[in-house]
Amino acid sequence: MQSFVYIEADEEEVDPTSLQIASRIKKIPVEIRGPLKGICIGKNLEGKESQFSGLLDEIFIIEVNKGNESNTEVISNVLLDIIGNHGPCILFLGFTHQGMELAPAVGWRLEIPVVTACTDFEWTTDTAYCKRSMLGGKVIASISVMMNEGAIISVQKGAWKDDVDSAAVGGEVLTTKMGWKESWAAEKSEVISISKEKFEEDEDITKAEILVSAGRGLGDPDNLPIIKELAESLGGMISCSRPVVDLGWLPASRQVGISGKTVAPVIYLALGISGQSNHVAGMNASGTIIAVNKDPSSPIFNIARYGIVDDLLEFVPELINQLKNQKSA
Amino acid sequence: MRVAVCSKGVPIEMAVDVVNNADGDISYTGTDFYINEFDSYALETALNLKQRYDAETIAISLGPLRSQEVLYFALAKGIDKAIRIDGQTVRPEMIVSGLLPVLKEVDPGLVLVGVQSEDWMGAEVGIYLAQALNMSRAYAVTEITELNESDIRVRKEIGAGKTAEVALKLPAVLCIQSGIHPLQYISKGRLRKARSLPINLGGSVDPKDVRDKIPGMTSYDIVGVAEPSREGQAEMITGERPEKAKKLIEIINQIA
Repeated sequence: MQSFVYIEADEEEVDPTSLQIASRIKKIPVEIRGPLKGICIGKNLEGKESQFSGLLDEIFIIEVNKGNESNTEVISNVLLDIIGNHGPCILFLGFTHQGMELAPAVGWRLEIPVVTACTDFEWTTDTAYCKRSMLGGKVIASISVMMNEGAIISVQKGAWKDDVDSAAVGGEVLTTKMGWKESWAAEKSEVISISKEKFEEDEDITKAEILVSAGRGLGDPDNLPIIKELAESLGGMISCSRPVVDLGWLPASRQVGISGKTVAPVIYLALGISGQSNHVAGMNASGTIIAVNKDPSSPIFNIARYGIVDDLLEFVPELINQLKNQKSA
Repeated sequence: MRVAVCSKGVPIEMAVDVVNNADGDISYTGTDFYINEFDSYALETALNLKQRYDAETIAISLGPLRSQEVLYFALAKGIDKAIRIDGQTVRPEMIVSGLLPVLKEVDPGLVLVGVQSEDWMGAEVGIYLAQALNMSRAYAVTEITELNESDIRVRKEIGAGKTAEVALKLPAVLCIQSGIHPLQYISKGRLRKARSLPINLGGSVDPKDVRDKIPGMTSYDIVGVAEPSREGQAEMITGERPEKAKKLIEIINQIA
C-alpha cells in the first residue's frame, strides 16, 4: 500500500489544502498508509517540493507545456499512469475545482471507490471511515471504505486546516522529476486560454478586516442597501455567498467560497447565509464568525462563534440604528 | 444536435427524513422532490441550445415516482421529451449506472448536468458519465462560446478566480455551473398543462446488479447519518431584538 497526495500548485503558490492533507496523512502510522508520496503537475514548479520536506517520502514533479497545467484530461492521464503503476494506492486530493473533476475521472478508470468532500477521516485497518456533509450541512454521513484495493479520497477545503504542524516540516524530500510522455497528451480537449478575474482594489475582499456577508436570506436585491450601510458603519466590506452572485445581486468579485474567494477577516458577519460547505470552505479561517439567521437549525451556527436567530431584514436596521446612536453619543 | 439533460429530484429540505438503508445507501421518506437547483441551470442551458441551435432536448431523471415532478417541470419549461428511470439512491455510481443505458440509447451529442446535487453535494455524476461514455468533459462551465457539428468551445471556472476557455471534441459532457443563465419562471398553469404530457419509463436501477458489474467502485458503504455535532456550536445571543443588537455591538467592539 502507498499513499499519494495530489499537490495542486501554480507558478505562484501551492494550494494550502494539499499541505493540510499531507500533514494529516503523515500522522497515520506508516504500517497502514505505507510510503507517503506527492504528485505535482504544472509549470515552473521549481522549489515547490521544499514545502513538503519532512512530510512526504518522495515527490514526483511533472513539468508540462503551457495550457496543459490546467487541462484536467492531461492531469488525469498523468495521475492514472503514476498511481496505476504503483499497485494498490490511496490518492488524496482537495475538493477543489480540479479535485472535483480529477477524483471521479481517475477513480472510474481505476475502478476503485471514490469518496468526495470528506471532512473527517480515520484509517486504522483495511477499512477507513470518512465523514461528509449532506443536504447543505444539515446531515453528516459516515462512510466506510475498503482501502485494500485502492481508493480516492477528496478532502473538503479547510476541513483539515488545523493539522498543519510547521515544526514537522524540514529536511530533504526525495524529488523525482518526470519528463513528458506522449501517452499523457489530451485527445479530446485543448485549453485555449486562461483568464484571471480583474477587479478594483476597493473590491478586494481578501484584504478586509471586517466582512459583512449576505446570503440568499437577503430575499431581494432591494434589501442590499441595508447590508452596505452596515458594512460602512462597521468599517468593513460587503461580501456574499454564491446564490447572491448567481441571482445577479452582487458581482463575482464579492463571492466567498470554493468557487469564490478564500477570506480570513478578523470578523465575518454572515447574514442570511445557511452555511453550506461550499461557502464555509472559503471563510472558516476567519477570526470570529458571527451568524444571523432566522432558521435556528441552520448549519452556519455549527461553525460560528456567536449566533443570533432573527430575520436579518428586521435585525440589521436595529443594529445600524444602535451603531449610529453609539457614534453620536 | 441532440442534448440530454440530467435532472435530479432532491428532497424539499425542511421536510426530509433521511434513512440509512441496510444496503449502504440512503433514502428519503415523508418528502416531495423538486429539481436540484444546479440541474435547473443545466436545464436552462439545454433550452438556450434549443433556441440558438434548434437542438432536440431530452430530460432524464433517476428517482421514485414522486420525483416525476422534476420532469413535468422540465417539460413545462420547453424540454421536448422526458424519461424517468425508477430507483432511489444517493450513490453517484449507482445513479450513473441507471443513466447509462438510457443515454446510450438516446445517443446525445451533448450531455448536461449540474455541477453537484443539493443533497449528496459531491460532483461525481457528470465526470463518471464522461468516462463511462468515453466522451470529453468540462466541469464548472460558465459559458458555451461556440458549437458546431464536431466541436464545442466553453468557458469554465478553474478556481482561484481563474477561468479557462476549452475546446472539446463532441460528444461531450458539460457540468454546468450555477448562474450560467438566469432561471426562467414557470407559471402554475404551464406546469399544470405539462402534467398531461407523457413521461417515458427508462428502466430501473438494481443496486445488486451495479455492485456485481463494478465491484471496485462500489466497495464503500454509507454506514450512518446523523445531525452535525453541536460541540462547536455558536454561543447564542438571545433576548429582545434591541438587546441582541446591543450585545452584538459590545462583542464587535471588543474584538475590533
